[in-house]
Amino acid sequence: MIGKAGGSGRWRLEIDATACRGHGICALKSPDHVALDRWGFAHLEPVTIGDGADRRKAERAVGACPTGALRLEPLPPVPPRHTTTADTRTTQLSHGAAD
Amino acid sequence: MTVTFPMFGAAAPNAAAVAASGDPHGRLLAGPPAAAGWERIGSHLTRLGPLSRCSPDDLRAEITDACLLGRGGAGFPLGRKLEMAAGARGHPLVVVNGSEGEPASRKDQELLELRPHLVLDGAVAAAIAVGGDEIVIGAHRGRDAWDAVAAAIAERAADGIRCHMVDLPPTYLAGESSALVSFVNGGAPLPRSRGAPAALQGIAGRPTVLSNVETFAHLALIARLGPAWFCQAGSRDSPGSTLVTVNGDVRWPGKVLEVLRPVTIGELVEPFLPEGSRPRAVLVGGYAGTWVEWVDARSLPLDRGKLSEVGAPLGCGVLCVLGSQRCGLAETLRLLEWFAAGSAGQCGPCALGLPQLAAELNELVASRPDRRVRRRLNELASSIAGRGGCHFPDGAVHLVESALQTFGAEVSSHRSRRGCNLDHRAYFPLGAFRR
Repeated sequence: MIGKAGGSGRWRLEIDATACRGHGICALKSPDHVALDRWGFAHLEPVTIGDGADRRKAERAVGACPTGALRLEPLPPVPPRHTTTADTRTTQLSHGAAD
Repeated sequence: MTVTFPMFGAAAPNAAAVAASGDPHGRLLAGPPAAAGWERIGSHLTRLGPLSRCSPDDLRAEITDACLLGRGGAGFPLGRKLEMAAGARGHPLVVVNGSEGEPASRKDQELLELRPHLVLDGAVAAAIAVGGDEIVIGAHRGRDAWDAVAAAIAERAADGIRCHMVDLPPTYLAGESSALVSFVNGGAPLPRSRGAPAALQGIAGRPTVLSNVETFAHLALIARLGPAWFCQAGSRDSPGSTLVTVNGDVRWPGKVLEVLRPVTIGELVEPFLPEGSRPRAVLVGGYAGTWVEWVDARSLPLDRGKLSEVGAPLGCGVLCVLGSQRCGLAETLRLLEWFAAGSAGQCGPCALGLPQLAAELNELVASRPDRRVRRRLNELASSIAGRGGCHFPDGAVHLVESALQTFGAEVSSHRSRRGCNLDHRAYFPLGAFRR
Protein backbone atom coordinates (compact mmCIF):
# COMPACT_ATOMS: atom_id res chain seq x y z
CA MET A 1 0.00 0.00 0.00
CA ILE A 2 2.96 2.31 0.57
CA GLY A 3 3.24 5.01 -2.06
CA LYS A 4 -0.28 4.45 -3.36
CA ALA A 5 -1.52 7.51 -1.55
CA GLY A 6 -5.21 8.11 -1.20
CA GLY A 7 -4.27 11.72 -1.83
CA SER A 8 -5.25 12.75 1.68
CA GLY A 9 -1.75 12.84 3.15
CA ARG A 10 -3.14 11.04 6.21
CA TRP A 11 -2.15 7.56 7.18
CA ARG A 12 -2.67 5.02 9.92
CA LEU A 13 -0.64 2.03 10.99
CA GLU A 14 -2.50 -1.26 11.16
CA ILE A 15 -1.38 -4.48 12.74
CA ASP A 16 -2.18 -8.11 12.07
CA ALA A 17 -2.22 -9.29 15.68
CA THR A 18 -1.98 -12.93 14.59
CA ALA A 19 1.34 -12.19 12.86
CA CYS A 20 3.04 -10.07 15.57
CA ARG A 21 5.71 -12.14 17.36
CA GLY A 22 6.91 -9.39 19.65
CA HIS A 23 10.29 -8.66 18.04
CA GLY A 24 9.77 -5.04 19.05
CA ILE A 25 11.85 -3.44 16.26
CA CYS A 26 8.87 -1.33 15.18
CA ALA A 27 8.82 0.47 18.52
CA LEU A 28 12.51 1.33 18.13
CA LYS A 29 12.04 2.61 14.60
CA SER A 30 8.91 4.60 15.27
CA PRO A 31 8.36 5.20 19.00
CA ASP A 32 5.72 7.88 18.39
CA HIS A 33 3.45 5.40 16.65
CA VAL A 34 4.16 2.04 18.27
CA ALA A 35 4.51 1.12 21.93
CA LEU A 36 5.25 -2.29 23.36
CA ASP A 37 2.83 -3.87 25.80
CA ARG A 38 3.79 -5.71 29.00
CA TRP A 39 4.64 -8.82 26.99
CA GLY A 40 6.58 -6.98 24.29
CA PHE A 41 3.94 -7.09 21.59
CA ALA A 42 3.31 -4.04 19.42
CA HIS A 43 0.53 -1.77 20.61
CA LEU A 44 -0.39 0.98 18.15
CA GLU A 45 -0.88 4.49 19.41
CA PRO A 46 -4.21 5.86 18.13
CA VAL A 47 -2.57 8.57 16.02
CA THR A 48 -2.99 9.83 12.48
CA ILE A 49 0.26 9.88 10.55
CA GLY A 50 0.93 12.79 8.22
CA ASP A 51 3.17 12.95 5.16
CA GLY A 52 6.84 13.79 5.53
CA ALA A 53 9.18 12.69 8.29
CA ASP A 54 6.29 11.24 10.29
CA ARG A 55 5.35 8.92 7.47
CA ARG A 56 8.94 7.95 6.70
CA LYS A 57 9.39 6.81 10.29
CA ALA A 58 6.23 4.72 10.14
CA GLU A 59 7.41 3.21 6.85
CA ARG A 60 10.67 2.19 8.51
CA ALA A 61 8.70 0.43 11.25
CA VAL A 62 6.64 -1.38 8.61
CA GLY A 63 9.75 -2.38 6.67
CA ALA A 64 11.60 -3.57 9.77
CA CYS A 65 8.96 -6.06 10.98
CA PRO A 66 10.36 -9.56 10.45
CA THR A 67 6.88 -11.09 10.21
CA GLY A 68 5.25 -8.40 8.06
CA ALA A 69 2.63 -7.70 10.71
CA LEU A 70 2.42 -3.94 10.11
CA ARG A 71 0.81 -2.03 7.29
CA LEU A 72 0.51 1.65 6.54
CA GLU A 73 -3.01 2.36 5.34
CA PRO A 74 -4.17 5.60 3.72
CA LEU A 75 -7.01 7.37 5.48
CA PRO A 76 -9.81 9.13 3.62
CA PRO A 77 -9.44 12.90 3.67
CA VAL A 78 -11.28 14.97 6.26
CA PRO A 79 -14.54 16.07 4.62
CA PRO A 80 -14.26 19.75 3.72
CA ARG A 81 -16.49 22.12 5.62
CA HIS A 82 -17.83 23.94 2.53
CA THR A 83 -18.43 21.22 0.03
CA THR A 84 -18.27 22.12 -3.62
CA THR A 85 -19.08 19.71 -6.41
CA ALA A 86 -15.40 19.21 -7.18
CA ASP A 87 -14.58 18.50 -3.54
CA THR A 88 -17.32 15.91 -3.29
CA ARG A 89 -15.96 14.09 -6.31
CA THR A 90 -12.44 13.99 -4.85
CA THR A 91 -13.76 12.64 -1.56
CA GLN A 92 -15.66 9.82 -3.23
CA LEU A 93 -12.72 8.84 -5.39
CA SER A 94 -10.29 8.61 -2.53
CA HIS A 95 -12.78 6.64 -0.46
CA GLY A 96 -12.73 4.14 -3.29
CA ALA A 97 -8.95 4.08 -3.27
CA ALA A 98 -8.82 3.61 0.47
CA ASP A 99 -11.11 0.63 0.23
CA MET B 1 -46.81 -14.51 -1.68
CA THR B 2 -47.82 -14.15 1.93
CA VAL B 3 -49.93 -17.12 2.93
CA THR B 4 -51.66 -17.24 6.27
CA PHE B 5 -51.57 -20.55 8.03
CA PRO B 6 -54.08 -21.12 10.77
CA MET B 7 -51.34 -22.17 13.18
CA PHE B 8 -49.36 -19.03 12.37
CA GLY B 9 -52.27 -16.59 12.54
CA ALA B 10 -51.59 -13.07 13.77
CA ALA B 11 -50.62 -13.13 17.42
CA ALA B 12 -53.80 -12.87 19.43
CA PRO B 13 -53.43 -10.73 22.56
CA ASN B 14 -53.66 -13.79 24.74
CA ALA B 15 -51.41 -15.98 22.62
CA ALA B 16 -48.61 -17.48 24.64
CA ALA B 17 -45.45 -15.46 24.36
CA VAL B 18 -43.09 -18.38 24.79
CA ALA B 19 -43.07 -21.70 22.96
CA ALA B 20 -41.14 -24.93 23.46
CA SER B 21 -40.53 -27.46 20.69
CA GLY B 22 -43.75 -28.98 19.43
CA ASP B 23 -45.93 -26.11 20.70
CA PRO B 24 -48.38 -25.24 17.93
CA HIS B 25 -48.12 -21.50 18.56
CA GLY B 26 -44.35 -21.55 18.08
CA ARG B 27 -42.65 -20.73 14.81
CA LEU B 28 -39.27 -22.38 14.40
CA LEU B 29 -40.01 -25.36 16.62
CA ALA B 30 -43.72 -25.79 15.84
CA GLY B 31 -44.69 -29.20 14.49
CA PRO B 32 -44.31 -32.69 15.92
CA PRO B 33 -43.21 -33.02 19.56
CA ALA B 34 -39.52 -33.37 20.34
CA ALA B 35 -39.98 -37.05 21.22
CA ALA B 36 -40.89 -37.74 17.59
CA GLY B 37 -37.34 -36.89 16.48
CA TRP B 38 -36.52 -35.06 13.29
CA GLU B 39 -39.44 -34.00 11.15
CA ARG B 40 -39.66 -35.97 7.91
CA ILE B 41 -40.09 -34.21 4.58
CA GLY B 42 -43.74 -35.26 4.28
CA SER B 43 -44.76 -33.71 7.57
CA HIS B 44 -42.62 -30.66 6.88
CA LEU B 45 -44.23 -30.00 3.49
CA THR B 46 -47.76 -30.72 4.72
CA ARG B 47 -47.25 -28.28 7.54
CA LEU B 48 -45.53 -25.46 5.66
CA GLY B 49 -45.98 -26.11 1.94
CA PRO B 50 -43.15 -25.95 -0.56
CA LEU B 51 -40.65 -23.11 -0.71
CA SER B 52 -42.05 -20.71 -3.29
CA ARG B 53 -39.70 -19.89 -6.11
CA CYS B 54 -39.45 -16.17 -6.64
CA SER B 55 -36.80 -14.00 -8.25
CA PRO B 56 -33.52 -13.47 -6.37
CA ASP B 57 -34.09 -9.70 -6.29
CA ASP B 58 -37.59 -10.01 -4.78
CA LEU B 59 -36.36 -12.52 -2.22
CA ARG B 60 -33.48 -10.29 -1.12
CA ALA B 61 -35.86 -7.33 -0.87
CA GLU B 62 -38.19 -9.35 1.37
CA ILE B 63 -35.33 -10.44 3.62
CA THR B 64 -34.07 -6.86 3.88
CA ASP B 65 -37.62 -5.69 4.74
CA ALA B 66 -37.82 -8.29 7.50
CA CYS B 67 -34.70 -6.78 9.15
CA LEU B 68 -33.54 -10.29 10.09
CA LEU B 69 -30.32 -10.06 12.09
CA GLY B 70 -27.85 -12.96 12.28
CA ARG B 71 -28.48 -15.11 15.35
CA GLY B 72 -24.95 -16.35 15.96
CA GLY B 73 -24.08 -13.49 18.29
CA ALA B 74 -22.76 -10.69 16.09
CA GLY B 75 -26.22 -9.68 14.82
CA PHE B 76 -25.18 -8.71 11.29
CA PRO B 77 -28.20 -7.94 9.05
CA LEU B 78 -28.74 -10.91 6.74
CA GLY B 79 -30.18 -8.68 4.00
CA ARG B 80 -26.92 -6.78 3.80
CA LYS B 81 -24.88 -9.98 3.74
CA LEU B 82 -26.96 -11.27 0.82
CA GLU B 83 -26.59 -7.98 -1.09
CA MET B 84 -22.82 -8.11 -0.60
CA ALA B 85 -22.60 -11.71 -1.84
CA ALA B 86 -24.97 -11.10 -4.76
CA GLY B 87 -22.94 -8.10 -5.90
CA ALA B 88 -19.50 -9.66 -5.44
CA ARG B 89 -17.46 -11.25 -8.18
CA GLY B 90 -17.63 -15.04 -8.43
CA HIS B 91 -20.18 -17.82 -8.03
CA PRO B 92 -21.74 -17.51 -4.55
CA LEU B 93 -22.36 -20.35 -2.13
CA VAL B 94 -24.07 -20.73 1.24
CA VAL B 95 -22.59 -22.03 4.49
CA VAL B 96 -24.76 -23.08 7.44
CA ASN B 97 -22.70 -22.68 10.59
CA GLY B 98 -23.87 -25.45 12.90
CA SER B 99 -20.80 -25.49 15.14
CA GLU B 100 -22.49 -23.96 18.19
CA GLY B 101 -19.27 -23.97 20.19
CA GLU B 102 -20.86 -22.06 23.06
CA PRO B 103 -21.20 -24.87 25.63
CA ALA B 104 -24.32 -23.43 27.28
CA SER B 105 -26.20 -23.02 23.99
CA ARG B 106 -28.33 -25.76 22.49
CA LYS B 107 -30.71 -23.94 20.16
CA ASP B 108 -28.87 -24.70 16.91
CA GLN B 109 -28.41 -28.38 17.78
CA GLU B 110 -32.12 -28.57 18.61
CA LEU B 111 -33.10 -27.01 15.29
CA LEU B 112 -30.83 -29.37 13.35
CA GLU B 113 -31.97 -32.39 15.38
CA LEU B 114 -35.69 -31.67 15.09
CA ARG B 115 -36.24 -29.40 12.06
CA PRO B 116 -33.42 -30.13 9.58
CA HIS B 117 -35.67 -29.45 6.57
CA LEU B 118 -36.53 -25.99 7.87
CA VAL B 119 -32.83 -25.12 8.15
CA LEU B 120 -32.07 -26.62 4.73
CA ASP B 121 -34.98 -24.65 3.22
CA GLY B 122 -33.48 -21.48 4.64
CA ALA B 123 -30.12 -22.31 3.08
CA VAL B 124 -31.84 -23.04 -0.25
CA ALA B 125 -33.65 -19.69 -0.03
CA ALA B 126 -30.33 -17.94 0.64
CA ALA B 127 -28.77 -19.72 -2.33
CA ILE B 128 -31.68 -18.64 -4.55
CA ALA B 129 -31.39 -15.08 -3.26
CA VAL B 130 -27.76 -14.80 -4.36
CA GLY B 131 -27.97 -16.96 -7.49
CA GLY B 132 -26.03 -19.86 -5.99
CA ASP B 133 -26.56 -23.61 -6.26
CA GLU B 134 -24.34 -25.02 -3.53
CA ILE B 135 -24.78 -25.37 0.24
CA VAL B 136 -22.24 -26.41 2.85
CA ILE B 137 -23.51 -27.49 6.27
CA GLY B 138 -20.89 -27.43 8.99
CA ALA B 139 -21.77 -29.70 11.95
CA HIS B 140 -20.25 -32.32 14.23
CA ARG B 141 -20.20 -35.94 13.04
CA GLY B 142 -21.43 -38.35 15.66
CA ARG B 143 -24.05 -36.05 17.09
CA ASP B 144 -27.78 -36.46 16.52
CA ALA B 145 -27.82 -33.17 14.60
CA TRP B 146 -25.40 -34.57 12.01
CA ASP B 147 -27.46 -37.73 11.47
CA ALA B 148 -30.71 -35.77 11.19
CA VAL B 149 -29.29 -33.40 8.57
CA ALA B 150 -27.67 -36.23 6.60
CA ALA B 151 -30.95 -38.16 6.57
CA ALA B 152 -32.91 -35.04 5.63
CA ILE B 153 -30.58 -34.29 2.70
CA ALA B 154 -31.06 -37.86 1.44
CA GLU B 155 -34.83 -37.37 1.62
CA ARG B 156 -35.01 -34.18 -0.40
CA ALA B 157 -36.02 -34.14 -4.03
CA ALA B 158 -33.35 -32.93 -6.42
CA ASP B 159 -33.98 -29.21 -6.51
CA GLY B 160 -30.84 -28.31 -8.43
CA ILE B 161 -28.96 -27.39 -5.28
CA ARG B 162 -26.03 -29.46 -4.06
CA CYS B 163 -25.56 -30.01 -0.34
CA HIS B 164 -22.26 -30.94 1.30
CA MET B 165 -21.65 -31.66 4.95
CA VAL B 166 -18.41 -30.71 6.67
CA ASP B 167 -17.33 -32.23 9.99
CA LEU B 168 -16.14 -29.30 12.12
CA PRO B 169 -13.52 -29.56 14.87
CA PRO B 170 -15.14 -29.52 18.34
CA THR B 171 -13.58 -26.23 19.43
CA TYR B 172 -15.22 -22.94 20.28
CA LEU B 173 -13.10 -21.00 17.82
CA ALA B 174 -13.87 -23.33 14.90
CA GLY B 175 -17.28 -21.66 14.78
CA GLU B 176 -15.83 -18.18 14.33
CA SER B 177 -16.68 -17.28 10.75
CA SER B 178 -13.15 -16.65 9.43
CA ALA B 179 -11.93 -19.81 11.20
CA LEU B 180 -14.72 -21.84 9.61
CA VAL B 181 -13.90 -20.45 6.16
CA SER B 182 -10.21 -21.20 6.71
CA PHE B 183 -11.03 -24.78 7.76
CA VAL B 184 -13.34 -25.49 4.81
CA ASN B 185 -10.61 -24.07 2.54
CA GLY B 186 -8.24 -26.71 3.88
CA GLY B 187 -6.46 -24.56 6.46
CA ALA B 188 -6.38 -24.57 10.24
CA PRO B 189 -9.68 -23.83 12.02
CA LEU B 190 -8.31 -20.58 13.41
CA PRO B 191 -9.54 -16.99 13.05
CA ARG B 192 -7.93 -14.85 10.40
CA SER B 193 -7.61 -11.17 11.11
CA ARG B 194 -6.90 -10.13 7.55
CA GLY B 195 -8.70 -10.42 4.28
CA ALA B 196 -12.07 -9.58 2.82
CA PRO B 197 -15.29 -10.58 4.62
CA ALA B 198 -16.61 -14.03 3.68
CA ALA B 199 -19.63 -12.48 1.95
CA LEU B 200 -17.22 -11.02 -0.64
CA GLN B 201 -14.48 -13.65 -0.66
CA GLY B 202 -14.94 -16.81 1.40
CA ILE B 203 -14.84 -20.50 0.51
CA ALA B 204 -12.43 -20.98 -2.44
CA GLY B 205 -12.44 -17.22 -2.87
CA ARG B 206 -16.13 -17.26 -3.77
CA PRO B 207 -18.74 -14.94 -2.21
CA THR B 208 -20.01 -16.89 0.80
CA VAL B 209 -23.24 -16.38 2.72
CA LEU B 210 -22.18 -17.80 6.07
CA SER B 211 -24.68 -17.61 8.89
CA ASN B 212 -25.97 -19.30 11.97
CA VAL B 213 -28.48 -22.21 11.92
CA GLU B 214 -31.27 -20.18 13.54
CA THR B 215 -30.85 -17.40 10.98
CA PHE B 216 -31.54 -19.87 8.15
CA ALA B 217 -34.56 -21.32 9.96
CA HIS B 218 -36.09 -17.83 10.17
CA LEU B 219 -35.25 -17.29 6.52
CA ALA B 220 -37.16 -20.43 5.53
CA LEU B 221 -40.30 -18.96 7.09
CA ILE B 222 -39.78 -15.42 5.76
CA ALA B 223 -39.43 -16.86 2.24
CA ARG B 224 -42.84 -18.51 2.67
CA LEU B 225 -44.81 -16.07 4.78
CA GLY B 226 -43.20 -12.72 4.08
CA PRO B 227 -41.60 -9.95 6.14
CA ALA B 228 -44.89 -8.58 7.52
CA TRP B 229 -45.62 -11.95 9.12
CA PHE B 230 -42.06 -12.16 10.48
CA CYS B 231 -42.38 -8.76 12.14
CA GLN B 232 -45.57 -9.75 14.00
CA ALA B 233 -43.33 -11.40 16.55
CA GLY B 234 -40.69 -9.63 18.58
CA SER B 235 -40.70 -5.88 18.96
CA ARG B 236 -40.53 -2.96 16.57
CA ASP B 237 -36.77 -2.59 17.10
CA SER B 238 -36.00 -6.29 17.09
CA PRO B 239 -38.51 -8.05 14.88
CA GLY B 240 -39.02 -11.79 14.77
CA SER B 241 -39.03 -14.48 17.38
CA THR B 242 -35.84 -15.51 19.10
CA LEU B 243 -34.54 -18.83 20.40
CA VAL B 244 -33.17 -18.86 23.92
CA THR B 245 -31.33 -21.61 25.82
CA VAL B 246 -31.93 -21.58 29.57
CA ASN B 247 -29.03 -23.16 31.42
CA GLY B 248 -27.29 -23.31 34.80
CA ASP B 249 -29.17 -23.74 38.08
CA VAL B 250 -32.56 -24.59 36.61
CA ARG B 251 -34.68 -27.65 36.23
CA TRP B 252 -33.94 -29.05 32.72
CA PRO B 253 -30.72 -27.19 32.02
CA GLY B 254 -30.32 -26.72 28.28
CA LYS B 255 -34.02 -26.14 27.63
CA VAL B 256 -34.61 -24.30 24.35
CA LEU B 257 -37.49 -21.84 24.20
CA GLU B 258 -38.79 -19.59 21.48
CA VAL B 259 -39.65 -16.07 22.62
CA LEU B 260 -42.46 -14.68 20.47
CA ARG B 261 -43.10 -11.47 22.36
CA PRO B 262 -40.71 -9.65 24.71
CA VAL B 263 -41.53 -11.24 28.05
CA THR B 264 -39.22 -10.40 30.92
CA ILE B 265 -36.30 -12.61 31.86
CA GLY B 266 -38.17 -13.32 35.11
CA GLU B 267 -41.31 -14.50 33.30
CA LEU B 268 -39.24 -16.80 31.09
CA VAL B 269 -36.92 -18.24 33.73
CA GLU B 270 -39.15 -18.49 36.83
CA PRO B 271 -41.07 -21.58 35.66
CA PHE B 272 -37.73 -23.38 35.43
CA LEU B 273 -36.37 -22.48 38.84
CA PRO B 274 -36.27 -25.16 41.53
CA GLU B 275 -39.15 -24.59 43.91
CA GLY B 276 -38.64 -21.73 46.34
CA SER B 277 -35.28 -20.77 44.88
CA ARG B 278 -34.27 -17.24 44.06
CA PRO B 279 -31.21 -16.96 41.84
CA ARG B 280 -28.25 -14.73 42.61
CA ALA B 281 -27.64 -13.60 39.01
CA VAL B 282 -28.05 -14.44 35.34
CA LEU B 283 -25.27 -14.57 32.76
CA VAL B 284 -26.92 -13.02 29.70
CA GLY B 285 -25.61 -13.77 26.20
CA GLY B 286 -23.34 -16.76 26.83
CA TYR B 287 -19.89 -17.08 28.33
CA ALA B 288 -18.67 -13.90 26.63
CA GLY B 289 -21.77 -12.24 28.05
CA THR B 290 -22.79 -10.06 30.95
CA TRP B 291 -23.62 -10.94 34.56
CA VAL B 292 -26.81 -9.25 35.77
CA GLU B 293 -28.06 -9.51 39.35
CA TRP B 294 -31.37 -11.35 39.53
CA VAL B 295 -33.17 -8.37 41.08
CA ASP B 296 -32.33 -6.36 37.94
CA ALA B 297 -32.50 -9.19 35.41
CA ARG B 298 -35.99 -10.41 36.28
CA SER B 299 -37.64 -7.23 35.03
CA LEU B 300 -35.53 -6.89 31.85
CA PRO B 301 -37.47 -7.56 28.63
CA LEU B 302 -36.13 -10.40 26.47
CA ASP B 303 -35.71 -8.11 23.52
CA ARG B 304 -32.42 -7.93 21.61
CA GLY B 305 -32.56 -4.16 21.21
CA LYS B 306 -33.48 -3.41 24.83
CA LEU B 307 -30.88 -5.81 26.24
CA SER B 308 -28.15 -4.24 24.09
CA GLU B 309 -29.24 -0.81 25.34
CA VAL B 310 -28.74 -1.82 28.97
CA GLY B 311 -25.34 -3.33 28.15
CA ALA B 312 -26.31 -7.00 28.33
CA PRO B 313 -26.73 -8.09 24.69
CA LEU B 314 -28.51 -11.40 24.15
CA GLY B 315 -25.75 -12.64 21.81
CA CYS B 316 -26.36 -16.28 20.92
CA GLY B 317 -29.43 -16.38 23.17
CA VAL B 318 -28.03 -18.02 26.31
CA LEU B 319 -29.38 -17.30 29.79
CA CYS B 320 -27.26 -19.01 32.45
CA VAL B 321 -28.78 -18.90 35.92
CA LEU B 322 -26.57 -18.74 39.02
CA GLY B 323 -28.26 -20.05 42.17
CA SER B 324 -28.36 -18.00 45.35
CA GLN B 325 -25.90 -20.25 47.21
CA ARG B 326 -23.25 -20.17 44.50
CA CYS B 327 -20.24 -17.94 44.16
CA GLY B 328 -20.27 -15.93 40.92
CA LEU B 329 -16.54 -15.25 41.16
CA ALA B 330 -15.68 -18.95 41.37
CA GLU B 331 -17.94 -19.71 38.39
CA THR B 332 -16.37 -16.83 36.44
CA LEU B 333 -12.89 -18.14 37.21
CA ARG B 334 -13.75 -21.52 35.74
CA LEU B 335 -15.20 -19.93 32.61
CA LEU B 336 -12.11 -17.74 32.32
CA GLU B 337 -9.88 -20.81 32.56
CA TRP B 338 -11.99 -22.33 29.81
CA PHE B 339 -11.35 -19.24 27.68
CA ALA B 340 -7.62 -19.34 28.43
CA ALA B 341 -7.44 -23.01 27.40
CA GLY B 342 -9.35 -22.27 24.20
CA SER B 343 -7.18 -19.46 22.89
CA ALA B 344 -5.89 -20.19 19.42
CA GLY B 345 -2.49 -19.02 20.65
CA GLN B 346 -2.03 -16.80 17.62
CA CYS B 347 -1.97 -13.38 19.29
CA GLY B 348 0.32 -12.60 22.23
CA PRO B 349 -2.06 -10.58 24.41
CA CYS B 350 -4.65 -13.41 24.24
CA ALA B 351 -2.28 -16.37 24.54
CA LEU B 352 -0.27 -14.84 27.42
CA GLY B 353 -2.83 -12.48 28.92
CA LEU B 354 -5.78 -14.81 29.53
CA PRO B 355 -3.81 -17.31 31.68
CA GLN B 356 -2.40 -14.40 33.70
CA LEU B 357 -5.84 -12.89 34.13
CA ALA B 358 -7.08 -16.29 35.33
CA ALA B 359 -4.17 -16.59 37.77
CA GLU B 360 -4.96 -13.18 39.26
CA LEU B 361 -8.65 -13.98 39.56
CA ASN B 362 -7.69 -17.26 41.18
CA GLU B 363 -5.80 -15.31 43.87
CA LEU B 364 -9.00 -13.45 44.62
CA VAL B 365 -11.22 -16.55 44.54
CA ALA B 366 -8.79 -18.47 46.77
CA SER B 367 -9.18 -15.60 49.26
CA ARG B 368 -5.52 -14.72 49.44
CA PRO B 369 -5.46 -11.46 47.53
CA ASP B 370 -3.14 -8.65 48.34
CA ARG B 371 -4.51 -5.13 48.28
CA ARG B 372 -3.55 -4.53 44.69
CA VAL B 373 -5.28 -7.51 43.06
CA ARG B 374 -8.18 -5.43 41.81
CA ARG B 375 -5.81 -2.96 40.16
CA ARG B 376 -3.78 -5.74 38.56
CA LEU B 377 -6.94 -7.32 37.20
CA ASN B 378 -8.01 -4.00 35.67
CA GLU B 379 -4.59 -3.36 34.17
CA LEU B 380 -4.39 -6.84 32.68
CA ALA B 381 -7.90 -6.50 31.31
CA SER B 382 -7.03 -3.27 29.51
CA SER B 383 -3.82 -4.83 28.11
CA ILE B 384 -5.85 -7.65 26.56
CA ALA B 385 -9.09 -6.02 25.36
CA GLY B 386 -9.15 -5.11 21.67
CA ARG B 387 -5.70 -6.57 21.03
CA GLY B 388 -6.53 -9.89 19.42
CA GLY B 389 -7.07 -10.65 15.77
CA CYS B 390 -10.62 -11.73 16.69
CA HIS B 391 -12.97 -10.87 19.56
CA PHE B 392 -12.32 -14.03 21.58
CA PRO B 393 -10.13 -12.32 24.25
CA ASP B 394 -12.54 -9.37 24.43
CA GLY B 395 -15.33 -11.71 25.45
CA ALA B 396 -13.24 -13.18 28.28
CA VAL B 397 -12.29 -9.72 29.54
CA HIS B 398 -15.89 -8.55 29.40
CA LEU B 399 -16.99 -11.57 31.45
CA VAL B 400 -14.44 -10.79 34.18
CA GLU B 401 -15.21 -7.08 34.26
CA SER B 402 -18.93 -7.68 34.55
CA ALA B 403 -18.33 -10.27 37.31
CA LEU B 404 -16.26 -7.81 39.35
CA GLN B 405 -19.01 -5.23 38.90
CA THR B 406 -21.94 -7.51 39.65
CA PHE B 407 -20.47 -9.55 42.50
CA GLY B 408 -19.27 -6.64 44.64
CA ALA B 409 -20.43 -8.35 47.84
CA GLU B 410 -18.57 -11.54 46.92
CA VAL B 411 -15.42 -9.56 46.10
CA SER B 412 -15.59 -7.97 49.58
CA SER B 413 -16.05 -11.26 51.38
CA HIS B 414 -13.22 -12.89 49.40
CA ARG B 415 -10.96 -10.01 50.42
CA SER B 416 -12.00 -10.10 54.07
CA ARG B 417 -10.58 -12.43 56.67
CA ARG B 418 -13.71 -14.53 57.04
CA GLY B 419 -13.71 -15.41 53.31
CA CYS B 420 -16.58 -16.56 51.11
CA ASN B 421 -18.96 -19.22 52.42
CA LEU B 422 -20.80 -19.76 49.13
CA ASP B 423 -20.69 -22.93 47.06
CA HIS B 424 -17.53 -22.88 44.92
CA ARG B 425 -18.30 -26.01 42.94
CA ALA B 426 -18.79 -25.60 39.20
CA TYR B 427 -22.19 -25.89 37.59
CA PHE B 428 -22.13 -24.33 34.12
CA PRO B 429 -21.48 -26.78 31.29
CA LEU B 430 -18.12 -26.68 29.55
CA GLY B 431 -17.50 -28.28 26.17
CA ALA B 432 -14.41 -30.42 25.85
CA PHE B 433 -11.70 -28.32 24.28
CA ARG B 434 -9.21 -29.44 21.72
CA ARG B 435 -6.74 -26.86 20.53
